[in-house]
Parts: sequence; C-alpha cells; structure tokens
Amino acid sequence: MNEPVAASLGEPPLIDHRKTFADVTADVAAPTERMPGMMWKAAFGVAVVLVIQMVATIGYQFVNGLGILGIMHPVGWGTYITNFVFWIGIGHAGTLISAILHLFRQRWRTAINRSAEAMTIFAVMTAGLFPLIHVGRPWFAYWLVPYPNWRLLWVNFRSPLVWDVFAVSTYFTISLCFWYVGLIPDFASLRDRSTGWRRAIYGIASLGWRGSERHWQHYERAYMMLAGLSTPLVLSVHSIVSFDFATSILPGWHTTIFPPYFVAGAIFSGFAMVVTLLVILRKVFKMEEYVTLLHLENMNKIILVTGMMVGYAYATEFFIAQYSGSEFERFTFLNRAGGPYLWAYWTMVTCNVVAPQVFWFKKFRRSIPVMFVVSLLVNVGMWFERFTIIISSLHRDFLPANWGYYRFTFADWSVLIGSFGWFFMWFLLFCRFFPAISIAEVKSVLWTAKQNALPAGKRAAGAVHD
Amino acid sequence: MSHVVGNGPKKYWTSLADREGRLPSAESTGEFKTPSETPTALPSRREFLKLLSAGAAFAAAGCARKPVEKVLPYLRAPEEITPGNAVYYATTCGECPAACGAVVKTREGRPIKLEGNPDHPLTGGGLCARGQASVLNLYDPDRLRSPSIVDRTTGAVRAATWGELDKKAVLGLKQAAEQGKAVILLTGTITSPSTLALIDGFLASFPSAEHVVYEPVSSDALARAQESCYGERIIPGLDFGKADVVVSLGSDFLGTWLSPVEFARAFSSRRRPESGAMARLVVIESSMSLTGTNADQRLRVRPEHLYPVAMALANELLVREPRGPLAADAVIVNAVRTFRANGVEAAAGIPEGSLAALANRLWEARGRGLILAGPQAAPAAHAVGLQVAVNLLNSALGNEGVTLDASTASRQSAGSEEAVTRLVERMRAGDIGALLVHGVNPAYSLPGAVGFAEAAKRVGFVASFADRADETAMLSDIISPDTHFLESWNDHEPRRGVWSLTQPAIAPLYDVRPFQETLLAWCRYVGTGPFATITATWHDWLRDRWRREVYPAADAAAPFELFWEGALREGVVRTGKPASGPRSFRSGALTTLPEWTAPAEGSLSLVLYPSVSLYDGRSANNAWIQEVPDPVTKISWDNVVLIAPSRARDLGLLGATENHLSAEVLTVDAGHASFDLPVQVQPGLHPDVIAIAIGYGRRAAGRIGNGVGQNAYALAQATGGRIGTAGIPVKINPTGKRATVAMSQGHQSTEERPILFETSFAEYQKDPHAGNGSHGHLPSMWSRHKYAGHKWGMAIDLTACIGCSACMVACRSENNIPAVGKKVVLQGREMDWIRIDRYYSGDPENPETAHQPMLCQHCENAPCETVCPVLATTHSSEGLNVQTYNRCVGTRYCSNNCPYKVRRFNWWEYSDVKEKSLRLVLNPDVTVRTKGIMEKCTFCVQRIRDGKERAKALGVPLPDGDIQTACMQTCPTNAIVFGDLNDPNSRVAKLAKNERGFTVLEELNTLPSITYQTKVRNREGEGA
Repeated sequence: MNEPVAASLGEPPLIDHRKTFADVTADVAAPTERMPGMMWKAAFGVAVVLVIQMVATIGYQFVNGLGILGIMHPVGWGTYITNFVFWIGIGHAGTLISAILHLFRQRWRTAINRSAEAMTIFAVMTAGLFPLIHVGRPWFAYWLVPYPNWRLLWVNFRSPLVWDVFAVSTYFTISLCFWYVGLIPDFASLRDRSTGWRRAIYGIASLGWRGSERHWQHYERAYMMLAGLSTPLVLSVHSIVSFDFATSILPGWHTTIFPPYFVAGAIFSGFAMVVTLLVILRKVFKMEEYVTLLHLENMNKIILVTGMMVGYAYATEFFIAQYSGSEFERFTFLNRAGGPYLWAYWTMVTCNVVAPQVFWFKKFRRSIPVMFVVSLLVNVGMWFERFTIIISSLHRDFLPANWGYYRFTFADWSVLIGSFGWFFMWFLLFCRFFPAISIAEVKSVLWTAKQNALPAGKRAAGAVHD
Repeated sequence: MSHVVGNGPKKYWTSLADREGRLPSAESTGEFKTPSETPTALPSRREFLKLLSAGAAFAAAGCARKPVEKVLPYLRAPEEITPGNAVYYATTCGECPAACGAVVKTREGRPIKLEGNPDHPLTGGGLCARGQASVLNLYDPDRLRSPSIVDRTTGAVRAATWGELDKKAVLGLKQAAEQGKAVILLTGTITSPSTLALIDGFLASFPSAEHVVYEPVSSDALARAQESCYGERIIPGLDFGKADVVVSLGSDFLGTWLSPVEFARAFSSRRRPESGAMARLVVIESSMSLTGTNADQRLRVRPEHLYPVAMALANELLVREPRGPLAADAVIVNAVRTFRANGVEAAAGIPEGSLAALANRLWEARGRGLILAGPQAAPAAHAVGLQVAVNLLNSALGNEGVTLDASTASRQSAGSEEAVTRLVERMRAGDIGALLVHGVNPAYSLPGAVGFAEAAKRVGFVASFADRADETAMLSDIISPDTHFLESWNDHEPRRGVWSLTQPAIAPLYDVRPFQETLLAWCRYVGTGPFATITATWHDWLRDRWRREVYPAADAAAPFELFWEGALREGVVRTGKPASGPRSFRSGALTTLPEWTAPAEGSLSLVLYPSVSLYDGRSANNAWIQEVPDPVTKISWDNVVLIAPSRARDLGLLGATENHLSAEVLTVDAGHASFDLPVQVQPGLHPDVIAIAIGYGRRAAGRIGNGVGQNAYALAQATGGRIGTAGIPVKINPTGKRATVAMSQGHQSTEERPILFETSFAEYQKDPHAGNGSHGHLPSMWSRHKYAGHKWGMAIDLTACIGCSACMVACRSENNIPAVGKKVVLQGREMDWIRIDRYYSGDPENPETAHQPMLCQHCENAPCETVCPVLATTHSSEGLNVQTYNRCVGTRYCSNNCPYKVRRFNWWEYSDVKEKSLRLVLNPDVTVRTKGIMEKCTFCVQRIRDGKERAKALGVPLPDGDIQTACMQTCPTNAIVFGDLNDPNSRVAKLAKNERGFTVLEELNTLPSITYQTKVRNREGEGA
C-alpha cells in the first residue's frame, strides 16, 4: 500500500521506523512463548476467583429463584439487564475498529484491532450470559429461539426480546468469524516459530496457511467481505438492543432517539474499554512501540466526540420530554435528575459528559494516567447510563401507587463483579495464547513496508529489504 | 373371604387361584382398612375421603352427628359429591361476632373458600377480609391436635386423652363447688342463642356459677347508655338504608364496628348517584379510620372532644335554636346548656359554624338521619356520656325507631368491661374456684394494669377452650380445643329475628371437640343440674331447640324436618319481628354524667384502634390476614405509631417513605406500660393524637403471629370498671433506632394523573360526566379485536368502594395466591392479583381519600402481550388477557410494560407448601405457580368456565350475573360488577357506557376491559 501523500504531509509514523518485520513477529509472539509473569498469574487468579463466586451465586439463583436479586415490583429489570446492555455496548468498539476503520482505510487501527476484536468477542460472551440468567426459568431460555417442535409453539416475533436473540447471536457469529479470519496468518507465524504440541495446535488453528499469493488474495477478500457484513451490525445490534426499551410504552424508555443514542453510547464505552485495556496491555506485555500514544490519542478523540454525542442525547431527551407535553414523560425525566436516583443520573453525566472534556487538550489526550482515569470513568458512567435508563424509568411509572425503590443485593454485586472476572479471564487467556497484535497487518504499516513499496531509487537509506 | 368350603353358604369361585386362596383379599391389601375411631393426626388421603363422604352423608341424612364413626367406602359416595365439582353449604361466618351469612365451598369434602351468603337478609352476599381469611384458620398447622394438659408452673403443654382431660375438668369443677367457690365461664360475645341456653344449663349444675362476657373491642358503653336512656341493655339494630345523613363520632362502622359488612352494604345502597339522592357521611374522629376515609365531611378532634362535640350538637338543636319536643325538657336543656357550639368548636379546633351547620343539616333530615359513636371517647368515664349524647340526638331528631330499631336488637357485641374487671378482682381475692375461658384471650387483651395473669394463678382450676395454646391457655390447667366453626354445628342470631345455622363442612381435622359438646360432657360427669342425665349430642340438642324455639316462631307451613333441611340449605331463617317504634328518651340519663374537663393544651393523647385486618388479634396467626395491608396505612405485618404530619414535622420524624421502608423507632410510654414501635406519618390524624392498632404483639398465637408488632392493649387503662382505649396520656421518645415497615403503597398522591376521577354530587347532578374529563376518540393504526361470543368486562364503582380489602383476601383464597411475609413485602414482592390503591388529596392534615381497586385491566391493546417473546401472555377470543404459566420463561418484560403494574412474579418457590395441612386450602381449579413465572388476575377464568359449562348443561344462554369473580362476590358494597360486555343488557355493559364511566390511563389507548365509575362525594354546602 502506497501512502506517499500521508508521508509527505509529515504524519508521524505509526510504528517506530527501526522495527523490522522480524522484530514485529518476535515481539508479538513473545508473550505466547514464555511463561507468563507474576502479574498475569495474579490477575488471572483474581479473575477466576471472581468467576467462581459468580457461578456459585448463579447456581444458588437457579435453585432458589430470582428472589436473591434486588429486582422487585415495579422494577422488573435490574443489574442483569444493565450489565447486558453495558457489555453489549463494550462489544461495539471491536467491530467498529476492525470493520469500519478498515473500510475507511484508517491504518492506525492495525495495532489495536486484534485486542479490540478480542474484547468484542469476550464482551458479547459476557453480555450473552445475562439474558440467559435473568429469566425466571433459565432452563427454558431456549424457548426464545424459533425452532420447529411438535407442540407447534412459536415465538412472538413482535417482541424485541426475540429480535435481541437474532441481533446478538448474529453479531457474535460474524465478529467471531471476522476475528478468526484475521488471526489465521498470525497463527501460521506462531506455528512456524513453535515446536511440539504448540506447533500442532497453532497448525490446526492456522488452517494450513502457507502465505501464498492465493492465500493472501482469498484472505483479503474474505476479510473485506466480513468487514462489509460487520459494518451494518455495528449499527444494528445496539439499535435492536435499544428497541427492548424503545418499543415499550414506559416513559423514559419509549423514545425514538434510542437507536442512535445507544449506538453512540456503545462506541463511546467500547473505545473507553479499549483504552483501558490497551494501557494495561502495552505496559504488561511491553508493546509500547506498537500501541503508541498516537493510537491512544486517536481513540481519545473518538471518546471525546461520542461523549458529546451522548451528552447531546441526554439533553435531547429532556427537551423532547418537555416538548411532548406528556406529564408522564416530563415527570420521568425530572425524576431522573432530581428524584431518588439522582445520584446515578449525575454520576452518569459527570463521567460521560464532563470527564471526556479534558481531551480537548492534547496534553491530556496523550497522558497515560489521564486517559486511564477518564476511560475508567467513562465505563462507570456508561454503566450508570444503562442503570438510569432502566431503573429510574421503572421505579416511578404511571400509577404512583406502584412506585418503589430498587436496591442492590449481594447477588447483584456478586454477578456484576463476576462478569468482569469472566471477561478478564478470557482476555487474559487471549493475551497469553493469541497474538495480541495483528502481526501481518502491523507489518503493512511499518516504515520498512512503505519503503519496500517505493521504487528502489527512492527508498531511504537503511531500509531493510524483504 | 375364606375359600374353605364349610358349613357356610355355598361359595363360588372365579378362578383356580381364587379357589386356592391365592387371590389377595381386600383386608390383606389394605384396600379397606378398619375405620379409625377418631382422626388423631392429619388424615391420609383415603381417610380424608372417608371423612368427607361421612360428613356429606350425615349432612344429607338430616345432619345427624352420631354416625361420624361409620364411614362408607368412597365407592358409595353420596349423590351430591361428584369429584371435580364443588359443593356449597350455607353456614355462618364464625370469625367475629358479626356472624355474617356465609356459604362454604367444598371440593372433595374439604372447605376451600368462604363466600357471602346472597340470601342473608343482613349481609346479602358480602363478606369481609377477615371472614374470607377465616377458612385458613381451619388448616392452621399451629392448632392443637388433641386435648392438652398444661403444667401451670412451667407452662409446658402436653397432649392428653379426652378421658384424662374430662377427669381433670370434673375434678376441678367439683372441687370449686365443694369449696363453695364460684365457677365462672368467661366468653367473648356469643351470638348463638342455643349455646347461650346450653351455657345456662351448664351453669345451673353448680351452686355458684356465672357467665361473664368480655369483648376486647367493646361496645359496653353503647349498651349501658341504651340502658340508662331507654331502660334496656341492648344494642339497637341500625338501618343505614334509611339514613340520609350519617354522623359518626369515632365509630368505624365500615371497618370494625359491630357488623361492618351489613353496615357497608346498607350504607352503600344509599350512595348511588344514579338514584338521584345520596346519603352524606360526616365523620368526627381523632384517628384516621376506614370510615373516615370515606367521609364526605371529616372533622378531626381529640378523643376528649367527642363528647362535648356531641353535646354541642344537642345544644344547637335543643337550646340555641330549640327544635322538636325534647327541647322543652328542662333536664335535657340544663344538661346541654353549657356546651355552646362556638366554644366547643374553638376548643376542639374545628371550623367555626360547622356544628351549627351540621345540626341544621341533621334537623332537615330528621327521621332520616343516624348518629353513631364508637368506643373512642376519652377519658373512659365519658364513654357512656358520649353514647348518651348520641342517644339524645337520635331521639331529638326522631331517628330513634326509624334508623335505630330496638326491636331488631343486635347480639353482636355483648361484653361488659365492668364485669370482667370485677371478675379479675374476685380471682385475685381467691373467690373463684374454676375459670373456663372460651373465645377470648384475656391474658393477651386485658390491659396489663388489670393483672389477669397474676390473678389467674389464684384460681383453683382454669380451663381453656382455645384452639391453640394461646396466652390465656398457657395459664390454664387444661386446654379442651374447640373446633373451627367449619367443623361443628352452631346457630346464630346476630340480630333479633335473623337466625342462621352453621353446619360442619368437614369432620374435625384433629382430635378436637366442640365447646358445647365439652360442656355437655362435663355436665354429665359432674352429675348435677339439668344436664346431669343428658344423652343428646350438641347437634341433637341444637336441633331439638330449633324444633321448640325457632320452628314455631318462624311460622313455617312445612313440617319441622323439611323446615330444618330448608334452614340448612338456605342458611338463614327469619322469625317474625315485634312491632317497632320509637322509645322515649329518659332525660334522667343525662343527670348522672360526669363533669367534663378540658384536656391539657397540646398534650399527646393515645388512641388504640382495632385494625380492619387484625381486628382484636384473634386470628393473628393467619398469614392472609397479616398480609392484607391495613386499608388506611397500607402497612402489613406490623402495627406502628401513627402520628399527624404536622406533629411529625415538629418532632423531626419522617416515618417510612417510598424510598426508605424503615422508620424511626419511638418509645411509647403510657406510664404503666411502654414499648418501642416504629413511627408512621398518617394524614388525617389529629395533631395531638397518636394512634396504635391493637391485635398485634401476640406471644402465643403461633408461628405466623408471634412477635408481629407490639401488644397495644398493654397501654390501655383500667379505671372505675371501664377499659380506656382512647385519650391515654402518653409520652413518645425517639430511641435513635430504625425499624423496617412493610408498606405496600409508597406514594400517596395521584400526582394529578388521569388515574381516578372524582366529582361532587352537586356537580354530578348538573352534568353526569362531571369530573371524568373528555373521552376523545383515540386514533389507532390497527383494527380492533373482534369478539364473536362473550367479551368479559368489569365495572368498578369508586363511589361504592370503601377500601375494605375483602376482595384482596377473596382473590387470595380463590386463586391460591401465596402470602409471602414481611421481609418479602418489604422488597415490594407481595403477590396480590388485586390491590386497593389509596390516594390522598387536599390538605395532608385532613385529606380526602379515594380507594381504587387495581387489578389486571384485561386490555384490548395489552402492552404485555406484544412484548412477551414466547407468547406466554396472549389475548383470548373472549377478551381475556391470559397467562400461560407453562410457557412463561420469566423475562418480566410484560410487567415492565404494564402501565398498571398488576402482574406479579414468583421470585421464590411458593407452590411447594411445606405445611401439609395448608395444602388442603388450595383451590384445585387453579394452578399453583412455580418459581420464575409471571402471574396475574385471570378474571377468575375457572369461574367463567364453570358458569359457561353450567349454562351449556342446562341448555340456556348464560344469564347475566351468573358468573361472579371472587372479588365481586365478596364485595360488601357491590362496587364490582363482572359480566359480558357483548350482551347489551348486562349490568356491566350498561355501566361501561354510563356517564360516570372512565378507564384508567385512557390516553395510552390500551382499551381496558375494566370501566371505573367516577367517585362522587356528597360534600357539605354543595347541594343535597
């Protein structure tokens, strides 16, 4: 790929120009080829413990009933659905980075797309737990799938929950395929570097990749097609998740702004999560040279933009509530900002709208501590956004006699924290066994690669040839 | 079944195996066991079926009690029992002395539900919440299962045999007689004339014996005032149906006073705006009673001011502007002269001129008014005075003999406070040789100051007839457990001339014996007196008494056998009533009244009141009763200190709120007793009053009722032979602690939302649409559902609904709705399919109240139906919104999307009832629901099916009113009407089109099948 224009505009190189192809392969493969350090072991241990306690809680819930949660009458959905929407949202950045940025030829994505995609897969895996465990009889959750059966029972295609089943499962399948296709050349690289059973496993995973021209052609086409398939999904999944709320008649849920608002929020939280993860990843696995401040700064810019989009959505909701003339709508939004859950609302506004504003300043955009804190705040804020939408709308709806106050229980905390354990468990396994950075794609943005693309006479001195 | 051919009759064999004796005989397989003499434990299925067939057999065979031991195999079941079909027996509710007519529904021989008896002349099909719940007491696992002997020193209770128990009883009774000490039978109000006659016979067996009647919720003052004013100690029959103006001075006649179902029914019959006239209710009270929430005009006074207010009304009528013949009576005029209306108004803090206006209103409606006073006068010495003043008012206004009728006097409250306090004194003095306690629990309900427990130790022999080892039974030597009223025979005459029968609907579940049977047995064993040689059972005796007393009076044409069967079938018999007429008022009654002194300004006055749910605490172990939120406070599973909003503000108290279901705990100190209880702010309470419900704080009620709340009887006063439950000087001190309060309705205002509409009667007369807004056409993209056959619907009249919550318990009983307990109610997870939303409006210090039953609206455009992913909730062809439990996965989306939030989720497993006896109360027609699924009102779909099948079997079109939902059936005020909206002549179809009709949240276009009728208030100064 030739980018003389970009080069001539003086854009800084994405990767340090001294890195050779061999360096890239060696650096990225390194974590998979040595025993993990104490940091990894400790983190993995904590994650597994969190998962175990979550499984215990869920097991207790299966046996005894949903009563262990804080949900009640009138708040029928609580932390489980909040977590579901939150994790689905997180899962958006990966596909956005992989697919949309790929289609738009944003080459800086190459260093981060692999981990972002992994994050997507694991976030959707985490999110997918919640619709299963939040139902009263999880052993019948498969009834939401329209499968032929002799009882002639069918699902209700008018219900957004059925749309969810399709939206989320499609998104997961395509994301998984997309991720896996991207991994094939890198698995082959790992295979070629390894011996013994590792070689066998990576060999199977690389599906006989030999790096021939044909392979590359097919690969590029498949990758492009999957990127094309994924792109509408980025918009559709969260739109459909938002229909869970938007198609209801509950004030605070029944809002036409929800699809774009949810998508913006999802990208916002997804990028924040990518920043959080990469800041840790590049430090722990010493990949600062690949995931550079430039990458992080770019993502911070997106966080700033999407943060203002959600801020705008918050304002719009209030305006529309007032403008609608519906007393129920008006009340719901005033109650959000001034009712018993004002703490959740203002946490959300502070984290999502105020905190990202620091990214107007380049200094902060490029400051690792600042971006780490802001990205964490955004994630907290986005969790509270879903919490606010779900709980503050439900707890005071049409008939005042129904009003009530929802409280967390131990089980709510247990599963919320456990879901992070579950996510990080997978992510840590990914870092340990998978190439966390796309070796093949990063090579394409190396200074060396660019030099190779130039006619021999124009190459810079010291450029490595092949 | 021997195969041996011997001298017996020739034996045919059916196979070689039979001939050789290899076929098992019936005995060896246990197919037909020898019937057990008496059921000692819970009957097994087989045993149970036998008992049921026996029960039905003797009910059919002239209701002979004797053959109870002779069981028949189920193969020869009586004709009337078809498995799967319910059998109904007329009976009388025995939950409280009101003795309302009831019908008990039995399935396969077990009573599963009580309903009001529509043929009853007083209650006409209504039954209250407690009556509905009383069927659960039958299956209470904490009932005693056998006669028991108590060790009075340790309080240990052990099971005994009847022989042992009777021996001990006879010994105790004989010893008392020999020592020349009195034998006392202490009972609650007994409305059964036959039981009273039997008691007389029993007492005659002893040289010195007395029947003392004590009722914790006392109408003693009323009876005494009747005696002093009219010469006869009675409680007159009250006819609300003839009253245009009702003035209640602290009498909760719609909730707890005397006969609430009868009164509510009669009162509401005059509250139909369509009739063109509407009775007005004025309530003058200190706490906020259920009656107060239904008042058109409500004046708040301290309990000390009830008496002067009544006297001031008399003053207005007889002195300031003398009207009527009594105004000429100098004694009367002298007595009421000092109570000038303006002075009393100023002292009591009620608006100036309100008493004069009320007096004028009463005068206009003279002969069509009714003035009542409850037991709330304070101090206790004025309780009789208040009743005398009320009698004076009724006589002066000519209401006496019209709305108050001595000829149909009531037996529904008979206690004497003086008699019981004197009894305790005599016990303490050692005068009492034997004390038999039936139907009351004085160790719990007498004020601590009376000292019953201590005094009981000085009684040689104490016997209890309680069905459990309650507080009083623990102080006894023996407990001879009485049967539940559904297990035994009885008769009742709640009002003179209205006789009803109680017939056993099931053989006693445990080894228990009716109280009357026990008395007869003891008479026989003691061997003296009129019953010394009696052989008759209680049933024989009762029947014989009816033959002698009731049959002739009833003037029936049929022979007695037929009359008796008819009485059993109908449940109620009327005997001719003597001519009624006004009694003359004895003005002398006014001369003996004590001087009135003003209470100290701003001092706190405690009022104890019976709550609509727990009443006096007799059924505190009934989870259905505990779970019904108090209709006023909406708090279940607790009593609390109620305090007025202004007082609470001054003291910095918040009480429990929507967001914090816990409240500050106060120490309530009445000097002689004190306890800690959480506080709750109650709009409508007088600022100088705090109110606490009695009936809580049981120590020996059972596993459900023990330790729920605090026993407020402890704070009552006992002075001068009167038990004071109001105007008790009291101090409240914050403890700094908080306690949870299970309030099922967090928010008390409609926030002016289009939820319920109300208007005044004057406005209604100008425009019948008044108050309920416009009914614009709401556009829809969709065509409406087509209902070819029936389209079920309901109409609920908010003017008629008094909020009594009977429907909630009826629904619970009919539909197997679990009671979940305080902890779960606190989480907002109560399971009621119907609830009563109670909203306040206006001044929080004295608000107007509206009650709104809220249940599944069976919307035509049901928001729940579209969102269910698995089609577990769908629309039926008859307009029902149906829930398929089997299909429900439990996403709870339907509940979130329901604007009425009437769906209930099974957060835990409730269908697996641990106590086996409690499984027997389940209605087999209604599925029990497992954990993790949604449930809600079905419009009693099982009753709809039943009605349709009945009509089909008869080959007739379904008659309107034939299908009654459980809530509609029990409603004492007929506020709920169910029927077919497709039948233009049905009541419900007419009501749905009625001008007052509106649907809740109409603009959502959910098109509910329930039409509410605008609440009409008959406010003062807004026309008649």
